Amino acid sequence: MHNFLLLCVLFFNAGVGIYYGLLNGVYSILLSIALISVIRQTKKSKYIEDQLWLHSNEIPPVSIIIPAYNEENVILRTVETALNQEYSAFEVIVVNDGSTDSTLQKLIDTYQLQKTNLLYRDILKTQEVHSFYYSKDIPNFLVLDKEQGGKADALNAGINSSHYPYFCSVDSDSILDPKALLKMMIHVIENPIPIIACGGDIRVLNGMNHPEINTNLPELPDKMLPMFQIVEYLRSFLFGRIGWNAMNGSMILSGAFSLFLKDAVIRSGGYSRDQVSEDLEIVFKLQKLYTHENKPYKISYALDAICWTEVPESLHELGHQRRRWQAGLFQACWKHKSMIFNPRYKTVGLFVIPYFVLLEAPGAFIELLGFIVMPLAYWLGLLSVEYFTLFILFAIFYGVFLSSATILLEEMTIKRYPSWRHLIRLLSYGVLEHFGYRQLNAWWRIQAMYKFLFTSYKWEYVHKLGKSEIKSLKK
Amino acid sequence: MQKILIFLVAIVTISIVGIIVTTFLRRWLHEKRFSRLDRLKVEYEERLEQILKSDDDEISSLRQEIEADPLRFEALEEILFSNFSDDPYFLDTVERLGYIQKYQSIISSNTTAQTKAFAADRIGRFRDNGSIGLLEQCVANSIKNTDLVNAVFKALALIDTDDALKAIITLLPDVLQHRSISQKNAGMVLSTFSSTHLELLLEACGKYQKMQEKEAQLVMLGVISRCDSTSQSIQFCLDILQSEDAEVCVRSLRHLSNVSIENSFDLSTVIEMLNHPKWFVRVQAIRVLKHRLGIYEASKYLFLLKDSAWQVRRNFAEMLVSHKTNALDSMVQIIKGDDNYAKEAIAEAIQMEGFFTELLSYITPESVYYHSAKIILIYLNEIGLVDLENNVDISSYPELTQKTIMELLTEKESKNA
Repeated sequence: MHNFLLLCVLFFNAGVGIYYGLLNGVYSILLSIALISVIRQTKKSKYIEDQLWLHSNEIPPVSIIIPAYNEENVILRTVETALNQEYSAFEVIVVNDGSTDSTLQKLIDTYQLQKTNLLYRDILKTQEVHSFYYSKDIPNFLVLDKEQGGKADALNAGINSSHYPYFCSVDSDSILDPKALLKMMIHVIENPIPIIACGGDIRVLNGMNHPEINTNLPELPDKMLPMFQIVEYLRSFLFGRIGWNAMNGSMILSGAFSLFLKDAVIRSGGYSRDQVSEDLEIVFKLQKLYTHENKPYKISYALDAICWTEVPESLHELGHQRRRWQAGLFQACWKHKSMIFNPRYKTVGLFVIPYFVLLEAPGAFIELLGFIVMPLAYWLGLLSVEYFTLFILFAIFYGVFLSSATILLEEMTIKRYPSWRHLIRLLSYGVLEHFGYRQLNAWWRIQAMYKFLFTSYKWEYVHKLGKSEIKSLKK
Repeated sequence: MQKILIFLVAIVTISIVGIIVTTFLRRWLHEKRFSRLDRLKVEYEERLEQILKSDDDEISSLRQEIEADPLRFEALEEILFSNFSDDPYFLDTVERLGYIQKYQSIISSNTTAQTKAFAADRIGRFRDNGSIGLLEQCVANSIKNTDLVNAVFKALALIDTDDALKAIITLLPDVLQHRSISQKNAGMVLSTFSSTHLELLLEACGKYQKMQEKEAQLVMLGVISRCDSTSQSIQFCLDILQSEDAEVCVRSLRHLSNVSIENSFDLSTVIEMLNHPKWFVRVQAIRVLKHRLGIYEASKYLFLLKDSAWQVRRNFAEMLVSHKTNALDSMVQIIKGDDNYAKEAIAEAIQMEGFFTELLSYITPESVYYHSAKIILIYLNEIGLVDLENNVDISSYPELTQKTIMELLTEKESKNA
């Protein structure tokens, strides 16, 4: 038994060494690529001429689709920022997915909506649509009221009712920068390779109010949990997504703000109702569709198209969200397992999905095992305290290095947090997150893995408090 | 192993310190730089009027001043951009200050493509017609560089002269072939010339057709399709309709659909397009014919209401409904039929064309259209498209009409019950 345990611990140690080596190697590569991309992007921003596009006939019209379920606290600000986009031709479609609160009534009252009857063609099958509401004063605004069917169903209903060749999915708790849509579309249409889907840059809204976003003077939240998430979002978007995007391996487009070619989504069958992360899975479907059709395409990420979203402020909500994300990732990877290590899917099949499955997914599990194996190794006399301390130090310092590097990337790009106080706080939270927050995340990921393997997992809406309530904009 | 770990921890620690120092230093330097830039901009804003009136000696000393200090160079440049004027004297001052010369030398040098793209952008903003040849040459030498090609094309669009357009026309087939610019982007650049340079655009399109540069031809036709028409452009588009390419046809038809209704032209070629195998060509042909075909002629094409593409059915239905009372008989004929697609298309078109309120006014036994209007209203009510409470102010109709409408709708409801 003793020998067996000894062997197990030795194998575990070797495995952990290889795992961390690979993981940190990938992170370092992604960071280096992101740095090069950011430098290029910064130079490019000095000569990009947006204004030519703003009034051009060549810019395609876009349907902004906002699915909403019990969002009475936040829906108005989201609609207002969507309607205030600096863009020549767009429509805003809110899909009220069977809300039981006053979401619909608030929209009716604020925009003086009138009920109307339109023929509804369910090109993508959805739950029944009860009625349509329109505003006489705002002709590009439409509200659909439908039976509850989940976010995927609501998005499909929005697609069915949209009129334009591109649609943009926006979460009902998100705020778009006034130029977000324009920036994203410029990115899409200036690319000679057809971009069929494009994600925007998601930032944390908590702690700010709306007018401040327009004047580029955001504030950081006072609470710790949103602060950790700000650093996390910066890291995820500024080096993770930029890095993968530069390698043509964009797989995760945030549901909070992404743009799609409508025809491509319809041909892929629309959003899947059986998926926990419908926004992730649709990208898998698009990759498959275009690879099978052998058409040139690109799925991309627009660094300068910014959307602000509210993040959970309680551990309960955060845990709920993280479990959903992780379970969604497992579910999508499992459903599309034929793509893993399939050279037909190039970067995505050979690197990105294997990275999710082999490096990202087991991370939490390895961390948990570490808590069991390390005392065991100590008991077996296999653990050198110096070695252990150095390893932990390295793991923490490398994490701090990644966070600090991301904050530098943020400085070099959008620089949305202009004061010195912001900078110091961001850097501090980049260090603090390694003491408790990361471990909590690991625990939620393990719970998600358990749920995925042993229980059924359904899509659920996350309730938004609308704490970052905003002042109304003048129409 | 331990030594390796110590080494790694040391490297990472140094990197963290390096990054943090860089971040703080960068921010501090930027703050310093931008506050000085702001001060200089205020200074030059105040001096601008005087600068524009300066003689050669004064300009020469100012040039020395800004060339010695890059921040002064940038500050004055930004002020010149924000106060830009097409006045020849203004442009001459810009040139004498050395901006054009500097950017021209960057474009001619062996520097990176991004630096050249930046210089091209600046030349474009200063609308320097004299640099067009250089910009053209620059693209020809780096035809595969997307960033540079995009920047030069936009610069040429900003310059907005015949010469700039000619340069784009020359470069377009090659850059499209090398995938260094998207069709949309090329279209956007060309559309800045469209209103005043239609003749040149038509000439270029004809040239591309002869050269069989299909992609360039499509881009050019896309731009032409959105221009105001002339007799020359109408004839050009009618001629080009003979093409077998559906994309070419659809763009030509789009231009023809923008021709004002007072200008008539031969419709025979357009009518032929109603039988085109591609649905989007049929849709576009219907749009051209919408207000040009009388109800008698339009009725000959009722088969389009059974088209496999809903877009065709809907557009044709809208065309039919646009004839309003003249088309009532045709509408009734379709509604009495068993083709649900056609019926729905008509119902939707009645809404889209805003004919519903007019239709309600005929719901009175006194109206000659009463029977037809009644059949249509009953059908619309059956498929749930009538919502008098929310959509129509029924009190605005005469009392008899109101009564008849309510009777019709209640009759239907009691039948359902």
